[in-house]
Amino acid sequence: MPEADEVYSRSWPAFVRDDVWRGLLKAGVDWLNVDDLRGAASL
Amino acid sequence: MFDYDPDQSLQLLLDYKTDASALHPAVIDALAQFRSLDLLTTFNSTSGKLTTRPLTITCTGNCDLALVSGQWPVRDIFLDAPLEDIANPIYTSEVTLMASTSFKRMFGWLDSFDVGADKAQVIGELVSAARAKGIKTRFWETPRCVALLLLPRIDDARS
Repeated sequence: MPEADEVYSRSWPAFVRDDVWRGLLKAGVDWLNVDDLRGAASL
Repeated sequence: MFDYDPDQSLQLLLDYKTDASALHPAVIDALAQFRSLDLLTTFNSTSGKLTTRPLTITCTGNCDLALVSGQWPVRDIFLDAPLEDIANPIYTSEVTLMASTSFKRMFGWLDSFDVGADKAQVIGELVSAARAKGIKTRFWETPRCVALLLLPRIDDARS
């Protein structure tokens, strides 16, 4: 069984995830580990 | 990728899951073919020169600084340093070209619905400290939303 926070993390809407990715990149982060390459490429 | 941008070095992360002291020498040996073709980014401890090549190797997981430092005088495996400790003087671009941390661990999922001004400031300070040393930054365990995408597909497969 996945841990509770694992289930929680999987339930995020894409727009929230995308906002976090954008925020990290805007803060200057060079690389992100992502589960969705197509989604990341569309940022 | 090389055809599109020959100056871009591919970052290969090796996630050590077993005893690093036994694994690291084996990894050094396994990279011999790439080394002989001059494909690996290197740091020469004698000349102090970093040479970027098409493939940059970074070890993470159980890998540690002592093992990476022990590859001398020419180093071609670099450490994935802990981003939250990047100000520590032991982390230099001689031994690490990438520093990373978990977004989940740094902020927790319950406080991770956005990257507001407070988080951006914390992240920005870490990024600046890393860049001042010539080290790039990476965040892992970033949010994902796989289940919402996969569940309909599972139902389709069963019907």
